[in-house]
Order: sequence, then C-alpha cells, then structure tokens
Amino acid sequence: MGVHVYCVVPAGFGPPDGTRGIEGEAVGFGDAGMVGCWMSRHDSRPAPTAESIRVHNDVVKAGMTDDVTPVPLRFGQWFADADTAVAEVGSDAERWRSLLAGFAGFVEYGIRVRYAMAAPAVSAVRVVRPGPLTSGTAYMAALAKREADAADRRRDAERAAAWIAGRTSAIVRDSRWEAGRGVDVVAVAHLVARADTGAYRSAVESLRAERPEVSVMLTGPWPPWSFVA
Amino acid sequence: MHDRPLTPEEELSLAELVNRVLDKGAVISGDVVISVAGVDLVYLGLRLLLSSVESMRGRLEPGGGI
Repeated sequence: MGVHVYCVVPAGFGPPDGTRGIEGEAVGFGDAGMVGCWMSRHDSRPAPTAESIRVHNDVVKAGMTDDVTPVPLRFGQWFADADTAVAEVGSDAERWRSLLAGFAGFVEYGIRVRYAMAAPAVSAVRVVRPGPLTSGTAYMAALAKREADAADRRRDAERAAAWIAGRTSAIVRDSRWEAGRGVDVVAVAHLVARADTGAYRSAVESLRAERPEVSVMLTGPWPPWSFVA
Repeated sequence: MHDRPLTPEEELSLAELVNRVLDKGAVISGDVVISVAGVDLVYLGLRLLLSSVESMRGRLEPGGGI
C-alpha cells in the first residue's frame, strides 16, 4: 500500500465530493498545516499509462477555480503512507505557499508551431552510429550534418519563439519555450490570467493569420505544469 | 477501447499532456520514480527517455551499428 500525490493546495482546500483519481480510487485531502495536498491510496505504484496520466491531470484541474490554482506535482511521486506524504509537503510549506500565491487566478496555455507543409530533415533527432561498412569519413560527415541540422532547428525555434513573444508578451505573465522535435518548430508555454483569456486567444488568432505557412496550435487551459521551477 | 487512429488534434493533445505530466510539475522530494512494464525507473526527464527510444530505433535499423 501507498499513496500517489497529485497536487499541493491551500490549507483546508479539499477536493470536490466524489473526486476519483487513478484506478477510480477516491482522492482525499492531506492536511499539512499551512498547505495541503490531494492524494489517493493504491496497492502498488500506479503505472504511467495514457489513462492514468490523463486522470492525474484531470484531478489537478478539478482544483482550479477563480481563486485557486493548485501546484501540479509531477507524475510518479509515491509515498509509503499518507502521513509520510503530508510530512514531506509540510516540510517545504513556504515554497508551496509562494507558488500558490503566484498561480492564483492564472492558467497555462500551450502553443506549438509546426511546419504546415513538408517536414524538415529528421536527422537532427536521429542517432548516427557507425555501421560495419561505414567509413570514418562518412561517419564524420554524418555527424557534421546532424550538428548543422540541429543548429538550423535551434535558430528556427528561436525565431519562432521571438515572433510569438512579440505578439503576446503584453498579455502573459510568464513564458517558457523549447525547440520542437520532428515537424514541430517550437513549443511555448504561457502563464495567462483567467481574465485575459479572451485577449490571449485573439492574439493567437492573429499569429495564425500572420503566418499561414505554419500551423499554430493552441492547447489549454492547463494547470501551470511548466512554471513550477 | 478504441482501435481507430488518433486524429492530429488528439495526437497533439496527448503529446502535450504526456510532456507536461511526466516532464513538468513540482517534485516534493528526492527522485521521481515511474514504473514501466514492472521495472522501476528513476525518472530523469521525458526528453532523455525519448532519446533512449530514438537510440533504440537507430540500433535496430539496418546498418545501425548493433
């Protein structure tokens, strides 16, 4: 037996009645003093299946209100019992309180920019290995090409991230970006006030209209997964 | 259980979901451990895990070196 923990919440903020977590187990509240956490009991550590990952996110979202945005916890945090989990959460209460104060009233959105037409060369994400019939020169040439492709992709990602920032920085509180893989140019996460959601969506529509040669895809609202560090 | 392939929108949503729930989010203490096929893995980051899959593909391809 043990407990799987989903998120950290303000003191006394329990899950809605009937909230079910992974494997249909009831989600309960752990009182850690100045903050609390939501967790469910299981016979063994939950596996990271698509379904359990979806449910983990759904439980955190169930705690999002106009005034409260929980601190989402990465999947896979497992404790021997509820007391141990609560003690660990309580030992870092100031950190959680600071994050909760910063997230209140905010949600995360994701923007992914994707090449709309042909995919770029995928060699940037492939591992180049010398085969038994491959010469050293060919191997070094392949390595050089991979490095050049990676540099090109990094520049594309930086340009796309700057383009998005130029159109959204006045609306969002915070942002993160990382270079894409495969057909993706860049993945951007934005922390947006609930009150600014309409303006934010309009800004994304403007991005789409401005650059029809790429796909600009929006997901969310999410718990603030990308902004806990 | 649905056998139909995912639409591009569903694929995107799933990718965004997995990337966030497994690779982002706060850590209470110590290492995050996930178990795949009954094997516990100390979690080091989704990108590293994906790189491992990519490496495996490279090794399995003809002329891939192994």
